[in-house]
Amino acid sequence: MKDRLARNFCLIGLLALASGRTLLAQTDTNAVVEKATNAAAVVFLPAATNANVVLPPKPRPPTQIKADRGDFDWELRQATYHGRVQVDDPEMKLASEWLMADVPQAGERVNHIVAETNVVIDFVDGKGQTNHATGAKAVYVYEVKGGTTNETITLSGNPQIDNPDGTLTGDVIVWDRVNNHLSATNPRMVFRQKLNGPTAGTNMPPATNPPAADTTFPPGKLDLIPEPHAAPRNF
Amino acid sequence: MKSRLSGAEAQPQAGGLVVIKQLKLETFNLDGKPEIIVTAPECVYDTFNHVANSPGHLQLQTGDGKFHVEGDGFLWRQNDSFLTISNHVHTVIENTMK
Repeated sequence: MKDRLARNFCLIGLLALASGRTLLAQTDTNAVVEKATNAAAVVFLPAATNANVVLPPKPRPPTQIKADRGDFDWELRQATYHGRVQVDDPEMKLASEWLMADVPQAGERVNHIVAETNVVIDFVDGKGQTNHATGAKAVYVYEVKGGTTNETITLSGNPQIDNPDGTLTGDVIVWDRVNNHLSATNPRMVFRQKLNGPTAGTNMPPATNPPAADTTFPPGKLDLIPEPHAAPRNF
Repeated sequence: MKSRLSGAEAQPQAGGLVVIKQLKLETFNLDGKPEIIVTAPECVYDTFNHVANSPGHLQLQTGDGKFHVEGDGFLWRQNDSFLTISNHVHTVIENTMK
């Protein structure tokens, strides 16, 4: 079960590889680098120059938070939102009834968010599939320790994630945003049957040829088997 | 100085209240750099309790310009640097890559 879960929800590990398009050019000094992610892109120039050019990351669209009411404690640097909270982030959308976020210091980014009550998160995974997550509480943590970046969203309170592959539930579901990996404690997975073919919705067999059944015939062409010749007909 | 409250016009009222037009409220960190800048068309400032409030619009941004908030109706407690925005709160956080 764990293997199946891992196979189906380890999805997202290919995200960085799939979405990042780095062009390596060893001869063209006018090489263009295009990279979809925010990570720094590197182009390798000819050996004569022996230099790496690092392009600055693309600017990321802002995160927006809307709510009925907000409390801002500037001594604790905490913002608390109440009522119909909506977060619109480039990588996900979140709705809840209450949300608390640490206000980042200058030059830093938001590193701690807690959302509670009727939490709904919609995001697109590395396969380009839309995921719909719900729970009573979600905690976002971003930290860099020893050069390693950790970025997680922990869902609790009857958490559930729906995507085209199926539905994942558990006691706690953790979305590792760095590795695009979902994990859950006491996971339960319901797989959704894919019915995309022309026979979907019918009881017809699939259009593809069925696999050959095991036989005792020796390998070879079927025309090796002699066919009875029809006797000439005389009229 | 921890904070500075200024305006284009001030009208003293009874009970230590002052009506301030074109409010600009700034707070500073220990290095003297601005932490937040709050602007509002009008507010009533209570000089006894060091509280400002208004039913009108308010805009706020941090000193580095990365965090913007606006909304309608606010209460500012100067003593503990606590701001409540009562309606239509909209925050924009410019994403900074570390």
